[in-house]
Amino acid sequence: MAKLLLKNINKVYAGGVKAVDNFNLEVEDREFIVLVGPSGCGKSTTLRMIAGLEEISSGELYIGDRLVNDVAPKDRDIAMVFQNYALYPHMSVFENMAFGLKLKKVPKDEIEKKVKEAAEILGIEHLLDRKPKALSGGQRQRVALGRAMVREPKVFLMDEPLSNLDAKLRVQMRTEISKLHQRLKTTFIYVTHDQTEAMTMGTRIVVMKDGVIQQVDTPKNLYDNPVNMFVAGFIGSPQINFIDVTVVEDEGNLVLLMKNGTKLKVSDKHQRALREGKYLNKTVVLGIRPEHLHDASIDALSSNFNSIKTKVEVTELMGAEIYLHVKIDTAPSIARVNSKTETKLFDDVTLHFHYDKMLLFDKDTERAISF
Amino acid sequence: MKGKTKERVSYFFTHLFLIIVCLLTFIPIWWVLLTAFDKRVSLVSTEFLIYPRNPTVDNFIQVLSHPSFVTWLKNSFIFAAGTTIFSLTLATLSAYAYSRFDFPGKKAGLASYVIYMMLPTTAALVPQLLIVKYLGIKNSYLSLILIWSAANMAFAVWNLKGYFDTIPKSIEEAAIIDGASKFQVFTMIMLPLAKPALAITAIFIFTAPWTDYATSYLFLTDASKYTLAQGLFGWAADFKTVSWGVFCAGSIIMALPLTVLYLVFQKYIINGLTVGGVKG
Ligand SMILES: Nc1ncnc2c1ncn2[C@@H]1O[C@H](COP(=O)(O)OP(=O)(O)OP(=O)(O)O)[C@@H](O)[C@H]1O
Ligand SMILES: [Mg+2]
Repeated sequence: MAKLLLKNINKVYAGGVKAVDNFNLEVEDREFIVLVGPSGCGKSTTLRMIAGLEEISSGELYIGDRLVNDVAPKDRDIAMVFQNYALYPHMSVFENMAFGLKLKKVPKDEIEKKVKEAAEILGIEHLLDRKPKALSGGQRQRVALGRAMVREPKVFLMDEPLSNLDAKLRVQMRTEISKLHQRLKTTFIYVTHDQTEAMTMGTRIVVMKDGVIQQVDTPKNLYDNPVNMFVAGFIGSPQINFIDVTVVEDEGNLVLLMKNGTKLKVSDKHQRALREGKYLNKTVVLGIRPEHLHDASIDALSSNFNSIKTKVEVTELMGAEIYLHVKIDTAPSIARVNSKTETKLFDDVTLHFHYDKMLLFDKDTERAISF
Repeated sequence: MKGKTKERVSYFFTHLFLIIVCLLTFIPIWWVLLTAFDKRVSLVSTEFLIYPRNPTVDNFIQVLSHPSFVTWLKNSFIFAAGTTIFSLTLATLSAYAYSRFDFPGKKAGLASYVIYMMLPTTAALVPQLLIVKYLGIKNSYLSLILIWSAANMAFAVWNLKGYFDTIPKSIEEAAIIDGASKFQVFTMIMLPLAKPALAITAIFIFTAPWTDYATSYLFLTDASKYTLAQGLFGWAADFKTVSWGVFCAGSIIMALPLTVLYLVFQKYIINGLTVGGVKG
């Protein structure tokens, strides 16, 4: 019922800035879609076009089965939560939440009922008489959510709603918004530049860069099979390590040759892809995530693993884990290993990784070499 | 320790300075009060009194019982209130437009206000006289309301625009999504939020015609339209020697409504003056 269809959507701002470039996306009912990408990539612009706050330069936007390009925001059946909450400072929490319903001429007792209900879900019943000024950041955010809820929209739009909160509260509100999504059973479209938020909340994630969609996928697929180096680098923390290697043939098998002479084994599937793409004797980029590098002194892998010898330059203890900053060839890299390791600063270390965990990218196009 | 001494010294001098400034403003006011409540005749007496030697309210009674006093008061009020309502309405609407909409000539329009503010008002007097005559509204309330409104528009628009600029756009957008029309956004969101700025702008505008003498003196020849300032001065000057006691009593009566306004809106005035620069 609350399906959403964005068809060839473009946005060119006055002055010629192309903020969104040929955006195509189909959102199913009850999905939690997260738009993610670096600053200025056009996330907010996309969201604001869906809301109707920004005109669509070209393309078609459907909410439900209705073309809404020229429909006023209030008639689109959407609600929006803003980064700075955008509460009405001169109204009490109750009035803030009731404002939309009042304008719709909903009967008073019904307004009261709906506001109370929403307030109860959000745990802000005791704040209904207060002005926004007298609320903490987290409480304001809840009021903003409540104001959106009482309108019972088909689609919830949220633009970085948690970025003004401190780290701890952000984590807490993250789960609360996820719960709210499960409870309300409506479509959510959520903008953030924080990949952790995207990975933990989204049922599907849209990764954008310079106004162009890079990949639309589930969190797991984005993580396992990024389509290009940008997505691979954007998803995951700490960032994935990229190492330039040359594809060479060794006793009939394709292997990856590092500059220091180390040869890395490649899975059969990857070998096939490399042969098909004619990568023999060419340089490709190896991507390996920090959490897939294991300290050989504590984690022995049984088979199909590669090892790299290097030296620890910096250590960062994170609790259960320790980040070892090393150089792999010349590329600064991070290994995220169990903190029970004995490896210390400036120690020589051997890092293992399973060859199924390797990601390979074309050096020029930066696209994944896939099988 | 050293920092603390330095702090104390700077505290001392700051306050000394403030006290001197207060005295400088207060002494003339005290002088006026003394003269109004004393039986003396001369304002330029050489003796300095701390309190009235012969306290009396005769001067006030004389002013209040003047046959034209009520007329003058009414006129002043009509001029001041008319100017305030007329120019505040126009200024609020245009300040909102300047703050929120993009249109050709926006920058030029705003700049022209600044240029207007830099011109001495006297430069406009002759053309204004001619315009008033041409329109055939000489000696009418409208004539001076228009002139005073024009004089205050620049300040009012800039002040209100500055305030509107500090109201985040997302608040309006939230209201639009909530279903408010453009007009409702203006009346239900922007105007209530701009109350402090509206209050201070209104008081500033109101003060101008209320305390003016020169403009009304030039434009009004019909005694029935005289303002309080004009009437009182003309009357006080009619005595063989100017009756300063009466004159000062009149001044105090004139200043009273303004004083009350300032006191009532004090909270807003301080807000309205400072909030323009601070991003909320
Ligand atoms: N009103 C505007 N006029 C002109 N250009 C704009 C306007 N709003 C945004 N842009 C430009 O469009 C591009 C996309 O902006 P947008 O706000 O959508 O980015 P974003 O992904 O939300 O970034 P952030 O994470 O910083 O919020 C940017 O290059 C920005 O400078
Ligand atoms: Mg944004």
